[in-house]
Amino acid sequence: MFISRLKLKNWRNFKQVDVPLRERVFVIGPNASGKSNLLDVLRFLRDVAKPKGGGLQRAVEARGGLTKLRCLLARRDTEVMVEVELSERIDEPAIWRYRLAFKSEGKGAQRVIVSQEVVEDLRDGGLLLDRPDDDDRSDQERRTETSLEQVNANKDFREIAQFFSSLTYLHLVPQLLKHVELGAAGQLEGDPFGQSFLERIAKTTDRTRSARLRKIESALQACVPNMRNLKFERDQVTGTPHLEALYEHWRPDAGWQREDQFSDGTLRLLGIMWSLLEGDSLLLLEEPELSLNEAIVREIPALLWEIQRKAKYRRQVFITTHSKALLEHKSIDPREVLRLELSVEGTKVLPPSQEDIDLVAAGYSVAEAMASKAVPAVRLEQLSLI
Amino acid sequence: MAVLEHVVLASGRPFAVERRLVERGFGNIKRSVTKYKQASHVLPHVVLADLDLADCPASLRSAWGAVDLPRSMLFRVAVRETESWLLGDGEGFAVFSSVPLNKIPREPETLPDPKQTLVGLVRRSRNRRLAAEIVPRPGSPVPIGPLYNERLVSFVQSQWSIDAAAAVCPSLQRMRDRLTTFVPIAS
Repeated sequence: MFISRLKLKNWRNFKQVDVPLRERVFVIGPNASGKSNLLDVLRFLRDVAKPKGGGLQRAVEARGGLTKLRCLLARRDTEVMVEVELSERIDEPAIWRYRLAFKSEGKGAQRVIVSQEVVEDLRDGGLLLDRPDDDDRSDQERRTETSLEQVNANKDFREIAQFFSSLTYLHLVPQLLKHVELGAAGQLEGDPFGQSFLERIAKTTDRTRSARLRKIESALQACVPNMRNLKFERDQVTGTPHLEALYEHWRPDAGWQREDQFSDGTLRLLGIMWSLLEGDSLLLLEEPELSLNEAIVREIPALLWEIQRKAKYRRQVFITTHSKALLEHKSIDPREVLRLELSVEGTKVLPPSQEDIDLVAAGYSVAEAMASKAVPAVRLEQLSLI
Repeated sequence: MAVLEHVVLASGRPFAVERRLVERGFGNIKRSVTKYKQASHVLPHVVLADLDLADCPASLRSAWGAVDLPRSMLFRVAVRETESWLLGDGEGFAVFSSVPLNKIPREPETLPDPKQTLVGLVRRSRNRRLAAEIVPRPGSPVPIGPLYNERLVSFVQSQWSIDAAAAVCPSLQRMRDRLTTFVPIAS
């Protein structure tokens, strides 16, 4: 399943958003335009839906409360709304629509209450949930929780809850893996920075693990050609999990290296690929181009596709990027790109215009056709003389 | 890009610049000429390249395949570099760079390396700060200083007179003429 349409109202710096989505989504835009905030809406749905420690109240609280979450431009209408449509396959009609809207109670403890929660099964048009209903009206307490987060209430649409709760956000920070003492202060929920990456590898069964590592190794060949025999090991003394690889060397036996000796770029790529192979829900990647050589960045779209093909389930991927090199890949369909543009009415999320699509058809890459519009208002490229 | 945009907007025609593409290097333009021809049917294109060391604009155009252009595309060549056009407005440049007017070449399009000439002029500027920004440090293998582009772009935007420059730069004058009669028809 994947998200084929996203609608937002008053979410952080977005006042109104309504965009179609495909299996790969590249989010581009100037610095501080809200790329991460856009991904955060999906993490928010995960936080609401996840079975352990989830729920609307906690998800809002974790983001600093409703006042931090609500768009500053929201004037009369202060409700925050998120709506997604889910499809089974690309270019097929959506099968689910889920809408969640919430606002402040307006009195007393100013709790966050559900102002709308709607689930539609679009295959037979059934409206499975339409809140607030009579029960909600008679018992205000009920409105502090979504039906999505309750196993008793989400029986008919548990598929949606599971989809949301299993999405992954990854912004792997290699230094946190190399210097475990840095992470001693604790981990954030959902492990966004990949600190427990090795633990996750350790928890998979031997067979799955070696199959995945084999796939990763073969895909990595192009980027790190002298790396061989990527394998998982436990430290004999402490039992700590480690990744090891053999770096080819003129000496026949030298060159076994552990993850703390891998390059930052290699570790990030490993993390991204493992995540692509691991789950079946949406994967959110922040700037996969970091610490990578431009020649490899150019190949990221192909690499992602290759690994997506090898995975058991094809995950939908959201990628934020600043890299022109990444977007120059000729296989990127302009319809896979969302461009963020700052305006006085909050950030706008723009799907490609017909002109963008025509320019790509005429031979421009997505980077030239769309990223040239994503530069900030000072127009950095004007700094060039000709 | 600043020069190109300035010339297009000062053409007296109702043109608006929708998109800007800085190709960084003639190789990229050369490679993309066919693409521009195609894409100009979607959105009219005005392409400006430096002649650099090529013989003449006509031979450069044919060598790059910039012939039989669609009506929605202009391909112009600056002789030898855009810097000649900047030096073309001698009075403006003298004020900007604090260099005596009589030191500035009268026919900048005949210069073999206008960028070097420009940098050489500013090197002797009374404005030490500007010189440090535009001129590379002695012994440096690079041709320009750290704020070369930024300073010249602000010159173009605030002081540069196209009329004065076009009077001594034939290739700029030809570009202006072509812009006056440019009727881009996107099909």
